[in-house]
Amino acid sequence: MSLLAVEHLTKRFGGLVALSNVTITVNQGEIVGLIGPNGAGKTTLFAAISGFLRPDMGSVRFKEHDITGLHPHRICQLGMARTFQLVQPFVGLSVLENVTIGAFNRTGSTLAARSRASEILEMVGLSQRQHDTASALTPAERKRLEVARALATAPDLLLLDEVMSGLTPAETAQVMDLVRQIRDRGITVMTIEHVMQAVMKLADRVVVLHHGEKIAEGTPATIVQDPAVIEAYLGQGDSRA
Amino acid sequence: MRVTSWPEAERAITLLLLVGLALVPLARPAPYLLHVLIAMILYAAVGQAWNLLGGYAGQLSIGHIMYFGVGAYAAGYLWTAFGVSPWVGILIGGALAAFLGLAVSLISLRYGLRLDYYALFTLAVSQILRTIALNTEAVGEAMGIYIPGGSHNPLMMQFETKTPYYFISLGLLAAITFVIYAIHRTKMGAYLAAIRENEAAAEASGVNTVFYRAACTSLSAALTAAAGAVFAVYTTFIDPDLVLGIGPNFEFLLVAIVGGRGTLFGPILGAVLLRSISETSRVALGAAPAGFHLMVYGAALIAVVLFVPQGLAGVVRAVWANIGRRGVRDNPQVT
Repeated sequence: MSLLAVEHLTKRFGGLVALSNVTITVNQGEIVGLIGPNGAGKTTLFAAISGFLRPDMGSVRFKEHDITGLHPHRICQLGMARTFQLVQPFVGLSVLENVTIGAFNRTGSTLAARSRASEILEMVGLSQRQHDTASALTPAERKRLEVARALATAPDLLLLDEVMSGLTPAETAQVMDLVRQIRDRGITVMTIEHVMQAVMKLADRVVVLHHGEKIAEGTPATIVQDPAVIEAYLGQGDSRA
Repeated sequence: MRVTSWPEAERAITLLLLVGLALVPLARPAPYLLHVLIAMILYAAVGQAWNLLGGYAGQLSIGHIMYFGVGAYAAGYLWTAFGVSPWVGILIGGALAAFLGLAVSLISLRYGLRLDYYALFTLAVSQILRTIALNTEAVGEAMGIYIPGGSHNPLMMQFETKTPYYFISLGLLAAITFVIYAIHRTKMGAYLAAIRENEAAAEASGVNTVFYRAACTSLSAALTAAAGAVFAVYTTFIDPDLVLGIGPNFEFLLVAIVGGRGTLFGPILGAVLLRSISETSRVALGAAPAGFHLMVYGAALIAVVLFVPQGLAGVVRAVWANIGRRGVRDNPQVT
């Protein structure tokens, strides 16, 4: 059953076509990897799905709701959460407060929100840091805080934007483990990733964007052999890979 | 010693300040001193009401006196023109200010006025209102409104001595402080902090930033207007410069900023300090050339802003943290 259906999504910035007629379906329980060279439109696609950018054409359906053009908070309330590539913590607040704000998405009670936030912090391994301000965290911890806050909103679909970039191999392995745990909790995951080995190991299905267009889609094994993908990454006048 | 958390300490200090102020009339202060104290408490009340929006929610409403003026004019006009009790005037003024706050926040959101643009917009609105008051015959134009006083009629907020006004003002300050304290502990408080820290992240976390900003602005506006209404009745005279002018506008903001915005007792401390400096410099230097005391006041302000940019409450917090650390060091088993 499809949880998210992106249809013919197009987004232009002036003369630049950032997304061109992109159609993607995400099914319940999957981990979908979204890859592509720099500037391919991956983050733009996330922004258009999660309500931060209004698409010029096309539609986004989520759990039988047409969410095209809705405010981000509304989309979050419907059960889709996202992280930001450039992490956006509430820097002046404590780690626990950061995640509690996410948890208020499903409850009005401060006590319930706080206890839910504690659980999530336990899950992402930030419990010992809960009383520190977010500004005191290391970059790796900030990435986990970003995931924790999104998880606290109790999403059915989680959009992860490069949560593994800039991490050491050991940290990457931990985050991969975390993503699997998230999926095991019944949360569908769509993840943008540059760390190729990680996506290939983690994803059930991979979608490849290039110059704003979807050029390939399939299992990790078929994707790595796809001629269009190889060309996008390796050559033919595109030095941005 | 028992080491408490900062929120507990903050609450205790706030209570101490309010209780301390409530005990002052027992010392039977001279009418002049009581007058200075009432003004101080009303400054604290406005600073505190601003603090909800400017401190806790981080919205730079630097033309905040517009709400004060609406409250003052509503109470003054309704009474002098229709004989409406100021107690009702507070409510009507509060409602009008809430509506104005709603309009200001929705218009600024509609046109994407954020941060410094929002700040300038609020300042512009306050001065538009001042100009309107200056040119509206019904509210006395530049002459303002003279509110007869001096009789005894509690139902009309009329008392022969200043002490009841002292307690009305203090009650208002306590009520505003309690509203902030209560909100801070709820979902709304968390959401306002989220909006202050990062609006995009707040939206992504399910925070309806438009709704919470508008709600916070309206509430802060209504509380500010209540202080304006009490001010009008107590001073028995208002005019456009007094309740909508740029000068008093920034005095109100300074109370909260010097005291420490985003803290529960900052505006109270700020009012105590600024009013003390202002009054002592006026009394001590009143015989000096005109305006000299204002120069001293200005210099004192610059010193405060330069040396304690986080406000007096920040200093208190640093001192408190220091004592806490020492306490832990002396008694290692206590944490």
